[in-house]
Amino acid sequence: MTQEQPVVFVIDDDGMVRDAVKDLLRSVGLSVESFESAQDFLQSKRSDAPGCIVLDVRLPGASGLEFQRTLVESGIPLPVIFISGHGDISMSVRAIKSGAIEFLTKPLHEQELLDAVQAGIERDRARRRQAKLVAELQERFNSLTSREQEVFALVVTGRPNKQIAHQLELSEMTVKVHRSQALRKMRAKSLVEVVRMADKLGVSTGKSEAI
Amino acid sequence: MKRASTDAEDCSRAAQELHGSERQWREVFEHNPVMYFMVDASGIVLSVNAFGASQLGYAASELVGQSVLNLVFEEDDKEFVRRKMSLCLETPGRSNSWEVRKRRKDGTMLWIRENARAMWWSRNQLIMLIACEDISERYWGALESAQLAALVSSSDDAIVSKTLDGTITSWNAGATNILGYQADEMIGQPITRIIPPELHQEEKQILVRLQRGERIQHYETIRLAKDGRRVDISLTVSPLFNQSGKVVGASKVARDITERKLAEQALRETTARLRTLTETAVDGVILIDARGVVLMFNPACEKLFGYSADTVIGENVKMLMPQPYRHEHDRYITNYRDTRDPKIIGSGREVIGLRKDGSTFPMDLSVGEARQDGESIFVGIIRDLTSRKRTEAELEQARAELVRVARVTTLGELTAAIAHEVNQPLTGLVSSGNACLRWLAGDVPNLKAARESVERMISAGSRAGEVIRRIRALVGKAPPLRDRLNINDAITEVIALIRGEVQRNRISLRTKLSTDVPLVLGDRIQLQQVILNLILNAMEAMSDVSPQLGELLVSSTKDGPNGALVSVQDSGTGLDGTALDQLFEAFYTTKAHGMGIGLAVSRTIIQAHGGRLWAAPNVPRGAIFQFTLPADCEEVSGMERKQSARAMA
Repeated sequence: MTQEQPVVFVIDDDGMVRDAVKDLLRSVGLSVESFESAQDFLQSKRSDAPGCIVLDVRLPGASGLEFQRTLVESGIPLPVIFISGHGDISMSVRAIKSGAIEFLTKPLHEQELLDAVQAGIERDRARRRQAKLVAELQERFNSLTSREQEVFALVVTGRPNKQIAHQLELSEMTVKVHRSQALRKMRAKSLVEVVRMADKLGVSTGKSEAI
Repeated sequence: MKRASTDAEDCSRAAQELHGSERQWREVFEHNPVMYFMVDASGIVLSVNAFGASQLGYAASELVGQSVLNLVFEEDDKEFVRRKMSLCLETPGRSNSWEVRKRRKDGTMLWIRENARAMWWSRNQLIMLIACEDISERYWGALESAQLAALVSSSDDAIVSKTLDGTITSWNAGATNILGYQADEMIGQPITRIIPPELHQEEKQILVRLQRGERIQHYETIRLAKDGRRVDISLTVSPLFNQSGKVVGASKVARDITERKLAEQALRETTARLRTLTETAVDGVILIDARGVVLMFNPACEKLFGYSADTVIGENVKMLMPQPYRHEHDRYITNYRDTRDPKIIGSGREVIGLRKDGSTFPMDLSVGEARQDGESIFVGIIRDLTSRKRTEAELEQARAELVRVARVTTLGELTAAIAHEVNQPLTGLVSSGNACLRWLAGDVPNLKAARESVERMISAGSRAGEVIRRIRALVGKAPPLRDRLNINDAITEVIALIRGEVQRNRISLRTKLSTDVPLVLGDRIQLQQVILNLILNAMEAMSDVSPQLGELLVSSTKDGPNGALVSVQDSGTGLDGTALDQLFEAFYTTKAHGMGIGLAVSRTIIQAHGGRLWAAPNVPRGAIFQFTLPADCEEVSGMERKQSARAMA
């Protein structure tokens, strides 16, 4: 699997810090895009690549923590690494709880920053892989007929064909046909694999109707 | 014939004898030292003797044929004389006498006693013989003693005479006035009644001197009045001689000198008080004449200058002055005498004094002018300012220390912001350093990128240094300076220092710095302290309002022709009316934590710069703090001060 070139977004209102962090990240071969404010970042056209955000907590206009919330709300699931002039414990706890990768204090320890950035990129890559996978499964799932989807949802709960047929008021034979069709369309090789897929898709008996 | 001739001879001899006798009588008549007049019944002079005519200044021929009344001195007396003469004519053979004033030919007057008698000259002619005696001397004498008596009785001085054994023989009204006794109480009394017992001995000595014929003049002593008062008198005692030249008594003239004594006493007391005043005065008192010669030099002066009064009195006051005053003092005095332009007269001035040991000291000199015998004399009051100067310096030092403490306290509140300001460039420095190492560590080192990293490091390092410099300046103990400075630069620097703090408080900070603000003369650090204080106060005031409303505006404008006005406007909770007055008092604070010295110190600083700091409500909310600074014209006035100090006179 060829890896996509990751991008790190540095947001800091202090040009000197911004440039230095950008310089450091570029020196390890990362692509860096920098912004003076959260607003600038949100308005920018960003490349669709794995990455993470390095963010100064005390941004003018909006605080880093608020910005983190805004990102989630705007569907920008990029991991955030906070940097702060003065590490305040409660602030770092809140940041981590809201999903921040790391909360680093200035001046930045090189390895910590690089590790955190790397971890952020990896996390984003994983997320992106996961997201891609789910999207594929969803596509396969979407190709099932509604009867097949119904059967699939019940199969993953581990119910035998007879019970399914009874529940759907179908013949056991018909259930068998739907089941094999569904497994083929989902490209599942085993029942275990089917269950995992359903798990990723969030398919369950309770949720089957919703999907 | 012979007979006839003999008869004729006899007759002739008889006639001759008769003639001789008549001549003799005439001689007697003419030269008798009595004035004889022979006048007819109407008063026409028939004959007058030579003596009589000459006494009146006439020749006899001038008087014969004139009326004797023409010689009467007073017109009014003529009737009196006529009546007297009529009386004589009515009673021939009887003598009448009277006294009358006669006029001499030269107009002078004679007192004449006239003795007249009428007689029959022939059967039908009644004439009058008048013998006149000059009694002027007697009259004058009587007049003189009458005048003397009047003098004695009207004199304010006590005039008393006594016998040698001390019995009073006369006592005038003056004596009654001064001593209270009437004449009839005292005449015949011993003089010792009016002499205080302790002075009886003195009286005896006076008597001894009197008996030797001596006169005692203006002898000051004391006498007792009737009411017991002791009266100060000045006494002149003269011996009284009898006709044989023997001393028989004394006359005493005594003058009441109580008032003079009182005046003298008052003068003595005033002088003594004045002396006490000048001798115990803490301030130096010096008196000079119009030429600058020292007339008086009090003990305080002796202490101040180290010279004894003896050394200085009579010398020119210049000796107490260092150059250049010494050199110019004569000119000051001359100038004052000629122009009457009082450079220092009537007011005080700070000048420098020169001590005997050559050292100098600051002193406050006030000069007053007085006239003495038509000449100006000058009184100088000198106060040593050494200790006041020292106190002032100490006070100034304490004030500076308070200002510094206030500044450090303010900076304490800023620790987080300052840490941030230092951390930023450090972050840049460390990050760029790391980057640089990595650019160099590759198989093909990226020198261009490495160089750029180093350049970034240098600029970050400089920025860190700048932050440290600013903080050190604010915390340091630098003595207050006066530099010409651009207030906008000072504002910008302060804002740079607290930018982090402003952001952390989510406040929107704007500046509106006018470019035509003139340079001001001041201490940059102290002025920055004031600006910092006002901004921090503003931020504190806005900590309770919602973030969107936190607006801070720092602006500068030109104030008047050449001053600067700086204002810090916030949109915070504002000032409530009652606090406005107290705002600038020390230890007044509305903050939960804070000493309440920030504004007090700020106002002190601004006032020391010749400016004004005040507060007013902002519209629609918040407060506005403003201060003015005069342009560096203060330098000019400082120079003026120096010049005027030199121009003292």
